Amino acid sequence: MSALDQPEVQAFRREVQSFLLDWEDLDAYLRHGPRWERVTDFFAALGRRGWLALSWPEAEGGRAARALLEYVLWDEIAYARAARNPLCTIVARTILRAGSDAQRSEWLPAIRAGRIHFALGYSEPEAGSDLASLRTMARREGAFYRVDGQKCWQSYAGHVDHLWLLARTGEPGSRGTGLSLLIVDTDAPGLTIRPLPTLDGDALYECHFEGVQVPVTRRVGPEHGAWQLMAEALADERHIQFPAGRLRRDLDEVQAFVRSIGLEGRDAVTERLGELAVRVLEAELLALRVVEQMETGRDTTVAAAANKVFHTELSQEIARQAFEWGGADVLVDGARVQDLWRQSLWETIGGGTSEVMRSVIARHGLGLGGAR
Amino acid sequence: MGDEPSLEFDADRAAVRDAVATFCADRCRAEYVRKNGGRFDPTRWRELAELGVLGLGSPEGEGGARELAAACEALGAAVFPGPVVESFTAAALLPSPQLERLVAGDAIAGIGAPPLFSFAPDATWLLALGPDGIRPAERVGPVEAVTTLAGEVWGRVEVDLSEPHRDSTLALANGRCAGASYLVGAASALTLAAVEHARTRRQFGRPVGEFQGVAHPLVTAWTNLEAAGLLVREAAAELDAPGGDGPVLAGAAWLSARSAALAAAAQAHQTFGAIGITLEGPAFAATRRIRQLCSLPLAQRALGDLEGHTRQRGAGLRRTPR
Repeated sequence: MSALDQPEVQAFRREVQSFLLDWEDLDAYLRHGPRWERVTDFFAALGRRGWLALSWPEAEGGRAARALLEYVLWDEIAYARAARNPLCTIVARTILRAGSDAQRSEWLPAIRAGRIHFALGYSEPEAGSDLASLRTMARREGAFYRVDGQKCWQSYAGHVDHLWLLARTGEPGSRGTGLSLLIVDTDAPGLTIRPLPTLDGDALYECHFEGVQVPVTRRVGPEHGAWQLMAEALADERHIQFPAGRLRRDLDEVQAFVRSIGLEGRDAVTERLGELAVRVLEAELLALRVVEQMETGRDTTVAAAANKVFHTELSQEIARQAFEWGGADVLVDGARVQDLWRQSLWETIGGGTSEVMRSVIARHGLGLGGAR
Repeated sequence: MGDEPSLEFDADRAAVRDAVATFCADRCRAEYVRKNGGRFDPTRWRELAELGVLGLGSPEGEGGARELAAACEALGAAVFPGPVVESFTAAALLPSPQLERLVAGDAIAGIGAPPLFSFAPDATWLLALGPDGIRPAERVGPVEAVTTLAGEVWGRVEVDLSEPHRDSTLALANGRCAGASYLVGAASALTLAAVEHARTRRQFGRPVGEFQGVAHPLVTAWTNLEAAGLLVREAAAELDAPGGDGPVLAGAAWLSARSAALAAAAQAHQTFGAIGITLEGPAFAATRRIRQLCSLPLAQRALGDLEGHTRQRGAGLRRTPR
């Protein structure tokens, strides 16, 4: 018996599926931006069910559920194409681990209710994969930090209430040992947020900081101590970052698409669909392995990196194949296959490029030092 | 979490794998594999049979598909020669007195598509694999022996075919499971050997594994093998669960392992460089065996079956009907 077959897991999956029936129109997994208000309604509905805090400790208003249930939740939400998991849960994990009591009571109830939203303010024009080189400065001035600098390629920053800002509080050149995490209101004076429309019909954002004042009480965790916290928060969330539901849906849609254009039953098409079905099975098992390792207290670094590379590259492979079958019709804007092609191009870049992920596996999984 | 279902072999199955690995460490060392040249060795085969391995997955055996997969992974890692896939395929078909001879290692089976059958000069039973199932094949002429890529002696022979066996589906699933697990074991051991080479071989003043161009393809090979291994174990677990998706997953596992092992074999050669091209080098014994196993006619209809299954049930493992 697979862990997925356990009665309580199946029952929860059915509960999620039934909940999602009301959100079939949402269709925001591939892009949140154009449907932001309805996306926030959806998160609020998840919040009312306690599902944004499913695995949090009960003392913090969570359900202390096992990681597999949280996986199944986001797997089904991905399959339903409703939405991706909100970035506020990464913020919450950090506050759960390192926040003060005041911060816990200020932020956690609103996050778990789905009332407030965050964008991650990490990348900069000169600091993408090499995040430790970032230059946005947060200089301490009494009870405030004064933030100057520029962030770019932030998802959702034009919609959300707060930025989860990674800024340099240490000396220039202090790399990972001089960074702190700050919560910045997106309407703070001196902060300008500008959209960068993206090829999938959504947008990334660039954020300019000119003397933005951030209260010291908005720093989460120790000053200069962000690097470790980020790694830990990321580790807490690895099991829900790339659930196989997206790929299951991709392939189901492509299979239906093949039928709709009359290619079903051709040997070459059947065989290629079969090959992709094997890949989707492999991807689902790699995702479930991250869950299993998390549940058994093992380090998920390598398994999660493998899952990310495999999942994201497969999403592109499926989209490319569907494009090949689709002929000229898929060139018409609005065709789902075109959306898959456009959107999946981002997947192997955002959240850690495939090159970075492979180097993580090379170093930590295979002991091949220095492969950057 | 003692009784939690796991994606890895549980303690009992890991013990089976480890017992076979221990046997292989003694009786199937690298020197033996090179010297024997891949030929069927009746003595070693009987020694393997004495472990009780050959009955796994059969009606007479002590274990099921998971034990079979665990044993075959260890056999693959050692590149153990002989009719591994053939035996686990035949074991699900042979009636009782014949099965006992197979399980004891006293007689072996060959598989193939007429007129070419694996191990035909030595085999007591021949099985023809086709799209409609597995047909027992009766020799009606002399066997013309041929040596093959992996050093095994096969044969061309004229045969009469019987009707497809009614247990073809299970037999094919067991054969695929055995073959897939063997491939994962062989290719994983080979890939880890290539990784070790990349860690220690120095060029341009540093271990070559520090170059992305060397490291990343090894990562890809390793990741695909990990995925294939997970799928083999999932398929085996399903085969052991009555009424499960075992046969279709075993087909998927065979395709997955085949693809991952072939790519890993090619990558290993590339990583070993000239060292891997030599006959006595660290790669060829495994890569020729991998290449040969992958050409066995086990993929019959697997892609089509999987496509149909996916069309009916949706992609992936999900078992809750929507």
